[in-house]
Amino acid sequence: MISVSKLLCGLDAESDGLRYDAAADSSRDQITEQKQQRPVVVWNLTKQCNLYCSHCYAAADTETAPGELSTAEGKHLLDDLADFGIPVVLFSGGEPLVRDDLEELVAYAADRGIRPVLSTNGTLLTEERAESLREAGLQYAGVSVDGLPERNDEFRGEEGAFDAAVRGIENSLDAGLKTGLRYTITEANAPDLPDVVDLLHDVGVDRFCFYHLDYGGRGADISNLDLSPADTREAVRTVCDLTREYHEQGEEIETLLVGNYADAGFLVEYAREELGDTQADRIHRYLEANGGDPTGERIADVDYQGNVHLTQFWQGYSLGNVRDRPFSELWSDETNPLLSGLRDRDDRLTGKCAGCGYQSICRGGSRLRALSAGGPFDPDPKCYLTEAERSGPADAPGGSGDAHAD
Amino acid sequence: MGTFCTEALADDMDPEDRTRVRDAPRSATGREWEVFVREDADGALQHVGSVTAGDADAAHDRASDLFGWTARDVWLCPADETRRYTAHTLGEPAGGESA
Repeated sequence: MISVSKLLCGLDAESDGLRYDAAADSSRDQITEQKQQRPVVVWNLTKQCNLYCSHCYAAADTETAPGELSTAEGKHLLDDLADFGIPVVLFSGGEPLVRDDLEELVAYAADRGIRPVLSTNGTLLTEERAESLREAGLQYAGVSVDGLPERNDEFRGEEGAFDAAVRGIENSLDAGLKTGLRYTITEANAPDLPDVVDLLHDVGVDRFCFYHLDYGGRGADISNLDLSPADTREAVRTVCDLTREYHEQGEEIETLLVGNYADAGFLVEYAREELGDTQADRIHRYLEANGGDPTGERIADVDYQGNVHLTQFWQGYSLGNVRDRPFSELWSDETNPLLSGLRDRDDRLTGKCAGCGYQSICRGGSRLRALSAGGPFDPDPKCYLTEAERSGPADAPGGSGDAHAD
Repeated sequence: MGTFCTEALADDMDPEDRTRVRDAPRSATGREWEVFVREDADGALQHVGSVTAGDADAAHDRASDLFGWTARDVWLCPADETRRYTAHTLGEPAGGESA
């Protein structure tokens, strides 16, 4: 997760310490004062969803999956996560609001010192649920919208889904919850992006997370709808330009890019072109602290049946199941060669990643997309940096920042 | 080591301290396959997680994509045919006792 508004416009955020080891320099109260040591955990509470989105990584549908973790099992899981030092749990799905124990689990996480945040399609976020979630201790609600009304509804498989999501956003904001947009960029909806930001900014949203498509669940089925590398570059440039335009007009929107760490290299190149060498070098230092693609390190996923995954998108492989073994043990077991290999990947990355000048701030990009192209250490097929850019800046040791989950 | 090879647990572990993990489905999108790899000819077979696949050949393909760079041998076992016994407990499942 890369904060464009922080890097290009200097907008402080509560995640500056977690993400860039820059808590001391931030004017905002911080999630943690220290750089992230443990992963953000996405917990897919349920497979059930009231919508049927064409890009859903969890392959959610209208039915509950057999064997979903119970409330009691969930609390034991949260106990383990808290004892392990997990900073944030992202309650996700399916649609997490279909579970009537969501508030109970959010409150339990908050009591155990974990920051509870929510990923939702927004359509079930009534005034009552928004209020009860805020009272339970929810810290943030990310609502998915993937285009202007007609396009979004087609994507989500339900007419009226856009309007329902906007009502959910309004209810969330009215309840006093920090609320943001989640937008997965594809070939179909890239042109809508500026208008959706404009529309939802008018509603009161000031945080916009733009996700690149990852090839998990139904997302793998629509990889043909993914943007080309050139179009991806243009979409990212649009996010950068749009962020700066809003800030120049005094509108301090927060914008983030998620799921393709070629963006890190692009941001340095963009800053060098638009803002000069001093700013570009400053941004490079922040991105080194951030640490590049977080797979296997700063992001983890527990699915509805308790399987532990390397990221929320990588549902086809599991390290193990929390009914057999605690998450903390599974995540710490570096006898697993894939887990240890991903954590120590620098010398394993192949192809154009091997000699890339931006390796320390990218670390190869999405390892799941790399797998779709050959193997876990192959280049991410969605890298859009040019050969000249990849051979550009001097490399330096990377750090460890935050993950792409909220 | 995980919970599959109970004989590998500590000698002083009372078998009654372990309970069988209930036979809850491990995947809602396909069959789940436990994956074991051996890195060297004289190395131990090691449990390295599970993959979701329709059949054993597809599971082997998935496992090879993930571990082909390090594995000499790959064994696959259907998760729904695997009995798991563990001293770890996660609390009461929905709808009753552990199996």
